[in-house]
Amino acid sequence: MATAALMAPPSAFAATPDPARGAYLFAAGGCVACHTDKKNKGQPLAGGRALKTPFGVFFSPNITADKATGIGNWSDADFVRALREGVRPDGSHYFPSFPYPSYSAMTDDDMLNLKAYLFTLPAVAQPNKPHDLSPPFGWRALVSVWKALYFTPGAYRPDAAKGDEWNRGAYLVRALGHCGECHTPRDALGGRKRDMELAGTDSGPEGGIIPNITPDGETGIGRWSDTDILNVLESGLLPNVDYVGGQMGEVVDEATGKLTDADRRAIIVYLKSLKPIRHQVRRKKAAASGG
Amino acid sequence: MNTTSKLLAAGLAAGFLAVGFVAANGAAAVADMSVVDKRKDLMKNVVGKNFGVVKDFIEKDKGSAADVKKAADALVAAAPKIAPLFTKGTGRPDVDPKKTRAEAKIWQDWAGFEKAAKALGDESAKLSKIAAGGDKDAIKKQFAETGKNGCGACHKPFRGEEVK
Repeated sequence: MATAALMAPPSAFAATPDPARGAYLFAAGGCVACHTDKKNKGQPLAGGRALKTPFGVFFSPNITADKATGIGNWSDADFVRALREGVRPDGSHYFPSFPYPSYSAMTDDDMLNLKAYLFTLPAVAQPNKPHDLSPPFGWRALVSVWKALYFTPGAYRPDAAKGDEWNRGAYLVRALGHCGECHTPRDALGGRKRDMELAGTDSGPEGGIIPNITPDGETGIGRWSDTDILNVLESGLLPNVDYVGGQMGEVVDEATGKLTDADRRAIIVYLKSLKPIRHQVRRKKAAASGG
Repeated sequence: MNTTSKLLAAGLAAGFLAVGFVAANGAAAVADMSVVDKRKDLMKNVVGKNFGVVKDFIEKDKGSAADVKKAADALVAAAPKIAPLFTKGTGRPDVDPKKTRAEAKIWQDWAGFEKAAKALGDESAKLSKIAAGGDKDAIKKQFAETGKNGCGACHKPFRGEEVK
């Protein structure tokens, strides 16, 4: 399905958006987890979920098709701009807590299929909650500086030297799955460290340890078999027979667990091709930890 | 009684009361933390170990369906031991988050927590029955169900992130 669409150059909104495809993209992109305030039994995609970061607390916005408080008035071009460039319809910047640095790599077609799907879901009237950020991080205009340092917008361009499966995996990990947004360590200004892709961090969202998923044998997943990785993506089962909890559990339930087997295998191909990075984030006895 | 004796008596009474007060509050304030290690041990060396037997049978052809049944039975026996090891005051945020990943939600939604722990036992009982039949494919399916409903159903909502 998606490989052919992926290999084609970004279209100028030519195809008729397909909400059925959008549903799959919705799962792969993990939209529901951030945009739903599950803790307080919020309506799906109506926003309000708190995301604690070193910069303060972000509250996700309402992305239902409600015209007053959601994105119901957005044109296709608005939607693509939001994901591709990280700007609102009025031109102001989004904070990168919205992972547009990853979503930017989605193709136009995928973005529009996703929008079509979103617009089939119930519209909910719920005004957005302002973020609670520590100065100066709350000054939206400063995001332009952050973007200059860390963000280059653009749809994913397949690497012709690598196969279809690798490119599909790269697209799933870098664009839709936005795995690096959690798994890649960041510097003091919150930009991802380019040479540490997926190498893990001990100061992830909610203050947690996010594992190194590069193929390093000692500190990453280098010793994992394909089945080991598949098990995590499919059901959250870890090689030491533990089960993922918390945030990765959500990822498995909402996103990776809903992918096709072929897509999961593509992710594995991509992950195993990465540069192994020695980066110890877990405590040495982490595999045995629990409680 | 003369004044001195009265004072003495009063002082002693006050002293006993004070000791009693401290003792009562002291005992309530300090939860028995030994449960934390006990539950880690249960999870790793009983639940994990036996689940691993089933996993090895499916993925590496190790052992037999009889071994799977034995492991499943051990899981059935272990499941009721889980909830009693999660006594109040032994989870986050009361306890150092480095020592335990048990989230406050466990005690906020105790009914849900108990349900998840019971699910491990129920799914394992099914697994035991299926293992007795010897069908590898059926065992594989029920292994996945047990993982999802018996492990994931608890770990996902109630177990927090590892912190440094």
